[in-house]
Amino acid sequence: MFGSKKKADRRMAVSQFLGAVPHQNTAMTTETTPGGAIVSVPVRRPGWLIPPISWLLRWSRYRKVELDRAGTETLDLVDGRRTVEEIVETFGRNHKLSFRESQVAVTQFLRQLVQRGIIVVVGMSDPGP
Amino acid sequence: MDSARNHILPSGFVQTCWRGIRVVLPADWEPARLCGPKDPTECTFVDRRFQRLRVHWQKVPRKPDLAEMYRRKAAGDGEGPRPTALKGVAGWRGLVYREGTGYVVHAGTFLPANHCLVQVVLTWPGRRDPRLEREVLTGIDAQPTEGGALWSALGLSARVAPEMEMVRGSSKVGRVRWDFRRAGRRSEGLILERLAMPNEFLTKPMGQWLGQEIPAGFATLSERAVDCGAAGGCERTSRGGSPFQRALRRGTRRLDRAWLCRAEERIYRLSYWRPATGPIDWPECLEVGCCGGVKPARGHGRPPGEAGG
Repeated sequence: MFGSKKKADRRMAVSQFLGAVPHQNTAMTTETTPGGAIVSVPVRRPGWLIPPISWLLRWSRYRKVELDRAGTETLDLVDGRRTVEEIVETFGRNHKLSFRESQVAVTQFLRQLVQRGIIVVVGMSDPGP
Repeated sequence: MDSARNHILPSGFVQTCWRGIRVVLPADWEPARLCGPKDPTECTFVDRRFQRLRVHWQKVPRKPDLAEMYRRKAAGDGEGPRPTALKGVAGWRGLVYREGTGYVVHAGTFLPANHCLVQVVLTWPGRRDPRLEREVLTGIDAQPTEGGALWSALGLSARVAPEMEMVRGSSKVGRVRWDFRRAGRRSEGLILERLAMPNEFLTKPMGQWLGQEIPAGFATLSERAVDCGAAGGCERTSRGGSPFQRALRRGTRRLDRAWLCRAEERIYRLSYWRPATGPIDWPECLEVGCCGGVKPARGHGRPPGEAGG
């Protein structure tokens, strides 16, 4: 269990992710709504979107993502200084969640934000055991 | 029930009672996997970065020779660093392996109370802590069954009649739910649920929220406010089944109760149903671990105007 290469890699990935620092996309804009926020991220125009295709297909320069209150709170915690571990701890403390409950929720959400270009995760320092 | 649950636990430790076994671990070693009804009986616990404990247990016809078992395991390991024998934990036999900068302990014991052979893999990423290791190993025991089987994991704790089998357990973010069915009588069931983040889940008054959790086809017979320890809650009695089924006395009665525990900031929901055309009551030994233990009062499940029974 402890010595297998596959497990060792996974262990490092967890440590690295918890020690990494997420940063918000500086080009993003946030609009507060009663239920949370709408985040707009500029997207690059695809190279194939030229006339006459562009006359037929609607294309927005912004990708809009609607966040609920918990999502907005998590995004607010992404300030470029806190590590993922600190965000997990803070979110868990605010909602009286255990570390693991909070970790599952926050890391899934951060991964979605990365996929949508809202944040980037920088630095993979391994704090070790 | 909370006092009964915690008075024997060392400070900073929590217990997990699951499918016949009780494990007492530091609070930051949280369950990562709890076995389902058809899985091998096994649980895994992790801290923030590492898997710390894997517990596997199975019923055996007689007490195994643990010393011989681990002697064979050590002999069969072949080349590589030789393990040392685990010492100083009464009733336990095992081997300690040096792995990288840490240690891995393979150990086993026999629980005569439920005829279980328990085997664990305990991981020490850095230095080994013999005192904690002893506390973890001696904290593994048979699941308590006095006054009903005790189930406890992920913050939810309940005493349930031993005849009720857990058929499904789920743990989504902030939402732990266990489904039980009576052995040999699947039409009788019980659901226990504990939800975190009440501000997110409870967007309506409690009565309305409880109503939306009840499956379609159940008609409400009565709804009332109930006292659930320190927290007020509401209870709803409902009836299911078509008029034809009810005429054949095959209808289903259902009780649902929910309350918000302000101390824990958790919503609790209990549901119980069984085939009945008359009154329905909560199972006798049902008790949920919230604010000193909530035992749904019996004798309140009948709608107004119906005779007791």
